[in-house]
Amino acid sequence: MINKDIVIIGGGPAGLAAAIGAYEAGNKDIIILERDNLLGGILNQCIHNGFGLHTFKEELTGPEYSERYVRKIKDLKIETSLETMVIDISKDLVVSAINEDKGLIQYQAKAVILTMGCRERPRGALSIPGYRPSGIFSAGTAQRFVNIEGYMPGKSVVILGSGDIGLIMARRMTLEGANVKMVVEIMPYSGGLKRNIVQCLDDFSIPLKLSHTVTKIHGSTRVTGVTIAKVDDLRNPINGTEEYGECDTLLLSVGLIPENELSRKVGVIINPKTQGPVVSESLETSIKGIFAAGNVLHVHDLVDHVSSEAYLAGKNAVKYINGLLDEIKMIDIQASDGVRYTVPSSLNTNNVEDLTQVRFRSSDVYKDAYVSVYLDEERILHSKKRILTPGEMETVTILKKWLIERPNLKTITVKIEKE
Amino acid sequence: MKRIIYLLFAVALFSCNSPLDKSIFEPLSVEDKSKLIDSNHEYGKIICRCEMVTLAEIKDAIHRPVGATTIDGVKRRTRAGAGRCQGGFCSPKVLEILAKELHKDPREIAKFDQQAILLVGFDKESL
Amino acid sequence: MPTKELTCINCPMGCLLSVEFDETGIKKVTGNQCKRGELYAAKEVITPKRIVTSIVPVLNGVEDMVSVKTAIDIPKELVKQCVTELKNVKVEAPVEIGQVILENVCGTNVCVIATKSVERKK
Repeated sequence: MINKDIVIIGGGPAGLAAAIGAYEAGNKDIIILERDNLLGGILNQCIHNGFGLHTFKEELTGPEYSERYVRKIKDLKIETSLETMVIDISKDLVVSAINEDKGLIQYQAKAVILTMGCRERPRGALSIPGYRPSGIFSAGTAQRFVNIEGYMPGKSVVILGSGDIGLIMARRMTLEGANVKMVVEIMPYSGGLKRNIVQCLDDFSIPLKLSHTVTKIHGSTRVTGVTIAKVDDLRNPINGTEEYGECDTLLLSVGLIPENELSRKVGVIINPKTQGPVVSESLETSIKGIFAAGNVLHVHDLVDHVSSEAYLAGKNAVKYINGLLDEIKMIDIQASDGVRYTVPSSLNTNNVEDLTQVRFRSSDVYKDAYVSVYLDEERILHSKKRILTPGEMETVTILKKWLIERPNLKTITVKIEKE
Repeated sequence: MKRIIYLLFAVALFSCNSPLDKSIFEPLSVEDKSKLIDSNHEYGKIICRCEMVTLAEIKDAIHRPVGATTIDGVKRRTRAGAGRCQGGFCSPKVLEILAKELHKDPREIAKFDQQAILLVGFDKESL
Repeated sequence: MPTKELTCINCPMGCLLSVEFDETGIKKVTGNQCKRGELYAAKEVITPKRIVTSIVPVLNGVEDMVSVKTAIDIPKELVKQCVTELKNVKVEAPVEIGQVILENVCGTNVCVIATKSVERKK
């Protein structure tokens, strides 16, 4: 058994930022456990740019953003263990991991930070009829083949899902020589950033078929084509609108799911809206001493937010170890009227920073609407937003002084109002 | 004749209960997992994280009699690729292991049938 | 006066810009929330440019591929040509982040540089 104050599970952008946050809060007894043979997580295969605008005021590619953090980890001499897979966490914070050379190792932690990231939703979850031919890949797997291994997974491609990964892969596949025929999106709007629609689809004249879905995959050994159809308001295919699209590859960009198997196993309460842990303002989960940040908590759009969130988790893990975290849940944060969820779900006035970022997503597209924040019955924020869409995470800032001025405050409500 | 068959059956049954070598890693206790890794370090490398399938098990699935030669072949013998991410994470790794163990080019590795190839070429080859 | 509507791609805000222009140039830009948006709008209407990101094979490295990018943005119409020029480029490990992989791509005087480091195989 190895004693370590802080054990961080996952060495991607969240884990790296959490380690730095903990270190800068005064605790150097940290270890990052990473299953891959390098740090950086998913950033290693995100070779496109768009990262770091908030953090570094520069636009970097994924590997460049990662390198900044990895360099800092090395400079601070924070301990890491690569090719180390965590297989269990216990309620009393014993983390069990395996590594080829070290065998099975167990760490007795004082605080654990969950930064395992997320996985992609597979074809099986969509129940698309057809055989099981080769040529169906989730976009991230295709990205790994193209960007890390150097191989093309197909020549003629249809992409299902217009989230950022699907859009980015539309461009990647095109630039590496494939013919991307279309991007198919079941919703009437795209889930990805607008800049990606421009740079990945418009630039290459790749059609975006909104309110459409794939209803059948053709081909018994390798994909030979797909049938797509328009969908109605309930997202059901409309008979008679079917079209056939010849292709040898179907890429699926149909959702990211926080990777919380370890969290569930140890009994952390999961928010069904995010599929991530329910956390307080300190990013502490329902189990004392276990914190969560990054995509494992809720899937982010910007790595900059992952980094700032995880840094805070690291800082609070140290606060917890030092006995300075007040564990009572004082104020509930409610997501209401058009707000799908908020992270965090509760606040404690004694723990909050001067400014607390409450992140949320809308449950639908709203134009010229208002994001409102109520402190019990009192409306404190009412900001007009030209557009709100589920594909873009939003933030409201809660001032500590508002909470101090209202010692009997029970509920903060975040909602979307028409006026 | 029947006796021989029963004898063979008993032998088969007992060899299924044989200890740690060529075990399935995931359901073992912490102590047994530890022992297994100490006996063969390739049990310490997890390839399929959803089903916790190790490199040792995948290599065994390839090299055993009537071994796997395809991605689905590995899946059916080890459950690698059958879990919640359905091979999203591990299929590139399983493909690489198959290519290496069978001395094949990665572009030759198939899903289940020799025509069900995964990789069609190198990046930029079609440019 | 003709007006073009476009989405700014400078940052994930994706402001919807409205650009009025005539044969002498840009007359007015609205919809931007920062100065970069105004500059982008002018550029995009007259001479659209893009940063190109790609990968090239590494020889004798601990990894097979290294990710690269154009050091600054290049004319949009040269993107395909830029990638084609990278087709036969291979780089010997070790590769240092920021190292020049290809000079003067498509005659633009812009270099393609590595965006990560790859150590040499032992």
